[in-house]
Amino acid sequence: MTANADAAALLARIARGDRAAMERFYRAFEARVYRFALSRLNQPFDAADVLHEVMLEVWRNAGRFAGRSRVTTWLFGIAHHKVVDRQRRRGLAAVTVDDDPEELDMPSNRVEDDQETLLAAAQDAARVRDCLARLSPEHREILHLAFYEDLPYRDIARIVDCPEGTVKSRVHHAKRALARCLARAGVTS
Amino acid sequence: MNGASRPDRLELERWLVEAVNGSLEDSEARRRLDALLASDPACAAEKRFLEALRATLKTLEAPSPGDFGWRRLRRELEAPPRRKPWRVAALAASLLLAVQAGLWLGSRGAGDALVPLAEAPQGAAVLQVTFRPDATEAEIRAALNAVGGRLVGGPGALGVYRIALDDERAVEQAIARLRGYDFVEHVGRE
Repeated sequence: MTANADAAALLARIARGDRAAMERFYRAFEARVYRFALSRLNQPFDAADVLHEVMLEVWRNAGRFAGRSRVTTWLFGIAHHKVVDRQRRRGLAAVTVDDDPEELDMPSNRVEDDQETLLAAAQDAARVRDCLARLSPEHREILHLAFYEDLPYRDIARIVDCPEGTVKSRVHHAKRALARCLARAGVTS
Repeated sequence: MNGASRPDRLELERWLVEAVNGSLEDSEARRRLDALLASDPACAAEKRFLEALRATLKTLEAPSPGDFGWRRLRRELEAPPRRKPWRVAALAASLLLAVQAGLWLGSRGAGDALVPLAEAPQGAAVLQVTFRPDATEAEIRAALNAVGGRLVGGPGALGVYRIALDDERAVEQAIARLRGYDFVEHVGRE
């Protein structure tokens, strides 16, 4: 049985009130859900609260998982909305910093295009962590889904509830913003 | 490789990202990408950058709540279902699910007189907090957890709760953090 099929079977048991299944599900996914929430919130306490809320939602609504997507897609979709709701309640409007089509065609003469510097910086964990912290929540989230969760754009679009075209644009801008930061860190260090 | 074989920049980037993270399933896209990687040094360099970024991201540590988080969840699963909002006296008992001993079940005196069963520990800083009437138990508990606070009194007739903080040095940070929640009406030092 695949990991996804295992997870779906656990959800079916959870829907029947099986607490042992809920514990197994929690332990199987808590680290990933936490890291996903943290990628956007960048606050450990808040990420822990979101994890708790997501798992409560799983307990209450496991029966709503219809199997039309992978379990992780469904789970991260819940987490995404919990994070967005939390930020909205605090008056932190989601700022989408994407979508400057003209920027795509600008000539390549910027410091972030020094590939050797970029490559070295991308291998420096401290620099990557620092630069990630400087990105917008949406950019951190999209890079996390693409490069930590290793998801295709199709699944990312479902999780963050936007068209694939938006995912393409957002990944592009997130990558560019990260590369600019890494390149500057490399030049000044 | 002629221009007709090259996708637009965003689509090419999608191929690269999905090739790097192992999710590229389109065999035609894979074939075209491999051809580009063999002929275009910039494309190959971009792939190396993405591979390095992915490898580094996967090494960044972020310890999750683990067993502590499960115990917190289990307590909530085992708690009796809530029927009413936070002003019901039983809320004080359920808040103990995430805070240490210091429970006060409330014995309302005249005005806002508080009759605590357990005083705040010696040396602890005490905050006075009021919550919005529609604040839920989960929200209040989350706020207390976030600042490491313990419920040691309240609510009185005015709905004031007393929250003890063991770390005197964290008081200002706790006040700022509590004020950031929209379901907190007032917070101040006692």
